[in-house]
Amino acid sequence: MKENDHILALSEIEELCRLYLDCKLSRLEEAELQYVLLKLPYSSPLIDDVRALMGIQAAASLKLKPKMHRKWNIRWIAGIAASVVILFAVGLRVASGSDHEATDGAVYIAYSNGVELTGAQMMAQIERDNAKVEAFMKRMDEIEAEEARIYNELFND
Amino acid sequence: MRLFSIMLLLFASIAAAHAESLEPVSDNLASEQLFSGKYNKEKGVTITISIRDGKYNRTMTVTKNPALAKIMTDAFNADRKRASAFNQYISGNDEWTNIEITRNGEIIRIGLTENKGKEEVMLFINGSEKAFK
Repeated sequence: MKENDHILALSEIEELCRLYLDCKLSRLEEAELQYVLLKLPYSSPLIDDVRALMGIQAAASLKLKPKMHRKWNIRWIAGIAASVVILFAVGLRVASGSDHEATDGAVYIAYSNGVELTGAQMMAQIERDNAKVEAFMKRMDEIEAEEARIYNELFND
Repeated sequence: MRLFSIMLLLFASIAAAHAESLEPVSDNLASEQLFSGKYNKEKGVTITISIRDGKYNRTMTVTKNPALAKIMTDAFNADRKRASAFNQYISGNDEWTNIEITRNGEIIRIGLTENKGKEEVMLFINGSEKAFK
């Protein structure tokens, strides 16, 4: 019977189902009918009743399961991947932003002799360097002003 | 395959956006490359960076390291070629050089001091935050 599954018509299946309900099928024929109902997607009230009595699901619904499982897997994987990306991005932001940003929005970073400075040591080093820069710029401005004055005296008097 | 491409594109966009926002750095000043983090862990090097009240200052000081001192002076001289102003002051062992570069309508000052007796070189980049955006 297996090799003829694909040529059984709906009416023939229904006829077999009637015979089953009338207890006119042998055990072997019942097993074959069970196999056919499992494999073929035919559906009618009579066929569905016999399937219910036999405790089997239709072939079509069985076939759907693997597909749904595949869709569920793709969605699951996509969701996991998206979550990982978002978590990674948020983690990067938190890691890079929080260590050097003060509560007033200022940013301070200091390294000395290969060691990152923090707290009061960091602020002290930054203040020293900034003071050197200010002194440098002030001195250069004074020199430039002095040069301009000398130039004016030499060429404009 | 399509889904993988979309996820990869999303990740690349997030990573690029994050890299862009790390610091307000203009990427074509040679002196700024000294503050990329590459020399933070070097011995004999002090690096400070502060962004406060609209002012952005970076300072790097190197002591007794001729190789790194040369890298700093080479970077300074590379930026000097595009300076709109230049000033130099020499006194004994001290040599101070100052250049100004205009960017985004703001002036960036880059200074280099060399003390040959102490074998110390300091380079700083100073300007408003707007100049570096």
